[in-house]
Amino acid sequence: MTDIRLPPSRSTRGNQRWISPRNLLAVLVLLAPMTALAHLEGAAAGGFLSGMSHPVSGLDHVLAMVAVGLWGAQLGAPAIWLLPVAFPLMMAFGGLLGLTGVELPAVELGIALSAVILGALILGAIRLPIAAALLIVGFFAVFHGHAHGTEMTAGQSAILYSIGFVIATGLLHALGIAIGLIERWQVGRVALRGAGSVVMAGGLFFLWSALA
Amino acid sequence: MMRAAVRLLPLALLAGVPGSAQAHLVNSGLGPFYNGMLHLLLSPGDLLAVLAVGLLAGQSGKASARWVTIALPLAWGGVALAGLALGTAAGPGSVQVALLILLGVLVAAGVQLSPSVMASLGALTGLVHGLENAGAFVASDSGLVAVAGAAAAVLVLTLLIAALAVSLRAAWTRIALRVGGSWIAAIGMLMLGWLLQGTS
Repeated sequence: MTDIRLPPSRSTRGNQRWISPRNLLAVLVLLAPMTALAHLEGAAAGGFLSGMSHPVSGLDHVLAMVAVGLWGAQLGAPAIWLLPVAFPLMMAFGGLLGLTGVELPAVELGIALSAVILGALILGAIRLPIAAALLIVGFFAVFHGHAHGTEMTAGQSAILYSIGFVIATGLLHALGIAIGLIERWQVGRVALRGAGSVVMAGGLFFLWSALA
Repeated sequence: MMRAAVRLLPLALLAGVPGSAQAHLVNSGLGPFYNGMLHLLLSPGDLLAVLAVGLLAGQSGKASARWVTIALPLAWGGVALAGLALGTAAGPGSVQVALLILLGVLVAAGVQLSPSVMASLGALTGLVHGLENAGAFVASDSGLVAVAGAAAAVLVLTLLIAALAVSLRAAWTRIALRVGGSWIAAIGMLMLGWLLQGTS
């Protein structure tokens, strides 16, 4: 790399000073003015981003939603796509109950149990009939939706919040399905069951917290 | 369950009351026609409805898609013009949301509707949303041209979405379409919750 020779400074006149282009660039970057990002997200963008961030803000929710995708991938077709179709619908129904003030008993317990049960099903590679799988996933989805419904922030664009919320939930399922595709390899099947044990352990932790 | 139903009844009745539309046209800087187009493109509720109708029409086959492409923009523009002429605009939000849920569930269930039923459903969607849109057009100086812009946007979007849905052949793409339907229905259900809560 060719060095750039700068003119000697007054204090070091007579001595040669060297600065590499990389250091010069770094100094210039440091001197570049920064744009002030001092504005809050507006109602529209704020609503969408708030909706997107809500499902991923709680590890108990994340575990259960990823587990739905994992279990679907483990069960194969048609569960691989039927479960992620059923979950948002039932979750939204739970959200509807939460928003309208309909009480649901032991919501936190239900959320924690969802991770325990789904984790156990993945760990045991248990193949239930599709109707039973849908029933389990749909049942627990109502608890997740209810919790989100009662926690939704007012004062934002309701529709953009809802869009962001449903997209984030769907993407968590997609993440679970993508991870669950390791099912096609022998080592992947073992790893998938291992992931089930992680989900179950997480669920047990949240169950303990809910009961404590 | 009965107690919950009784508790929800007044809320449901409140949600059924049509509210006056208070939206205003966004100034695109390109004239009233594009203001009308932009109004539609910046209304997530309207876009979702067009998306749902387009997906269902495409899923139902070419004939249904063709009829919807005519019925939806015509109804949308026609009722917006009527609202403009009468100076009234009211959008029954609960009907919009109920339609969105219905359309989403039909897409998720993989239902294929006959052209006449599909066209009727498209026209109903156009009537409900066009009536609400009329509020923005009433406030505009060039409402007539703006309505034409909005109806043109509905036509183009419906055409593109339905054509895309018709062309889907691979199994996974049909599944993705049905997953999309479930998302639309879920958004509709959450919207219903917001509506009943009174924060929509």
